[in-house]
Amino acid sequence: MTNSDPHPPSSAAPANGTASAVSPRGKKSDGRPIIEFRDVHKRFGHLHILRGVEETIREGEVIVILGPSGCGKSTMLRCINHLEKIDGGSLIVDGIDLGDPHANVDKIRAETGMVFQQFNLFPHMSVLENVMLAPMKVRGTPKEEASAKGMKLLERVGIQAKADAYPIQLSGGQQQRVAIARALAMNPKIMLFDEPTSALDPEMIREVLDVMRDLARAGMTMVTVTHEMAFAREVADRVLFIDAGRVCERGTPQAFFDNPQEARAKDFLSKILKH
Amino acid sequence: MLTLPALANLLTPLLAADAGDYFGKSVIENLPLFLHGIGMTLTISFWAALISFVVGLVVALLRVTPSGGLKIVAVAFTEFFRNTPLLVQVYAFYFGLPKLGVNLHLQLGPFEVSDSFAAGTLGLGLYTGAYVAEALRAGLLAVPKGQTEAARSLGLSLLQTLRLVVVPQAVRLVLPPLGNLYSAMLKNSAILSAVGVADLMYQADYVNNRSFRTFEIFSAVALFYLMLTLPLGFLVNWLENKFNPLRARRLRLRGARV
Repeated sequence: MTNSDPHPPSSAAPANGTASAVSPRGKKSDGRPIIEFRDVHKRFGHLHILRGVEETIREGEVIVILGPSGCGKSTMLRCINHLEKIDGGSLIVDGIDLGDPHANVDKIRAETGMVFQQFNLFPHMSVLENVMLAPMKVRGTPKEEASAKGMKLLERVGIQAKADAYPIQLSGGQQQRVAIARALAMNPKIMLFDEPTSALDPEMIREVLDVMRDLARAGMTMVTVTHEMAFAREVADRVLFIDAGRVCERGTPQAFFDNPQEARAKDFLSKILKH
Repeated sequence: MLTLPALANLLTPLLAADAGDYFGKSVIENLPLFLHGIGMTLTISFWAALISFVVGLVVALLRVTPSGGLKIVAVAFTEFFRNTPLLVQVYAFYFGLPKLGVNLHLQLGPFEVSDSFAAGTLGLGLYTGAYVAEALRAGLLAVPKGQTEAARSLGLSLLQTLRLVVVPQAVRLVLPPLGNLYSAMLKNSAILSAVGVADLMYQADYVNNRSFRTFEIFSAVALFYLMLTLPLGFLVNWLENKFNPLRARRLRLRGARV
């Protein structure tokens, strides 16, 4: 079951509206597993970054990954769309095992939108061209259709007025919203956010988080690495706390923030919440 | 030391009292030969540029994409052609290839290609191609890794990523070094006269051997080469702005000269 409508009104349930998707909190445990980590390992030379990650993420879930720097949060996220190749275990994304050398990686990537810390917009293309590129080249969408859809997406992230501008002419927050629209243009089943607000000036963080919040409410499956604790608390269905290459603690934001169980999680929270 | 009498001697031919003689007479009288030479220089430069760009692009791509065996071939190619003299390479193609049974005298439809032309353009093209490959590789590596990651994460294949995202950005970076390389190539083409390509240098040698008016002939030849290379520099500047839509627009808005 997929959410095939790219522009569901953010106030309404998605077209496929099951009971689990309507209620944004808590009841998504019956969704179909869409990302499954099974004893996933990843090494960079001598560095053993992921040391047996186990996790099942279900369709429609909004996951926030937290953890100290260098713990493997971003690596875990980047494994999901195969920007990093796993060295051991299995990682099944939408039914395709990424540990299999013959896996159709391009297909997984087309189904998985990724938003980067540094935006990574294509500087030689206008904003609209950035959004149109992948649908035209990967899906073969005709230009007029891609353009019309691109404009709708730009409208959705509130930046349609800048469609003909070049990325360098935009603020960081605007660039990141374009990057989100660009990822959405492929109708992804999963959206991955790798510290999407970490490179932004403080006054621009909110506009990006607002877009992400709308996306979460519309039923998108989202996995986000972030340091925005307020966002995690408000929007996440589940929080994963990663330490030393493993999922160290998992639970609802309330449970995690108000009553962490693991000593390392308590230590982490005491550092970030009191600075 | 340039003494006054020596200077006077040097200028004597310029001020020759001989009626009907003047500085540059041998050039003017043989102008059709020189023009043919210029035409040939442009022709070999065009084909060598084409060869070098295609070869350079392929070699550069082989070096930046992850495929071990082909990478070694690409490195070997670059190092061989960059580190041996162009004249030696041209000789090797001109005298060596026929010995290996390769017929350089080609008949391509209505066009007849002489063996010296074929060996010369091939040699100049491959030699320049090795440099072009290095310039392109530098450009490709200068495009941030995040660009490739963004393109791949959208589902673009490796080839599409290179063609649509990396290469267009690299082009802008490599235009200045490419401009240098191609002006050097145009001048290097003079070496092909050594195997009998009838280019500008060849015609100059020919006229010189009959008239011995070396100074005026090669002064004119220097001028002719300048007339060929200077526009190339302007072309590169123009292209640089063309591939940078933003800068071109800003400059226009400011009323600055592009």
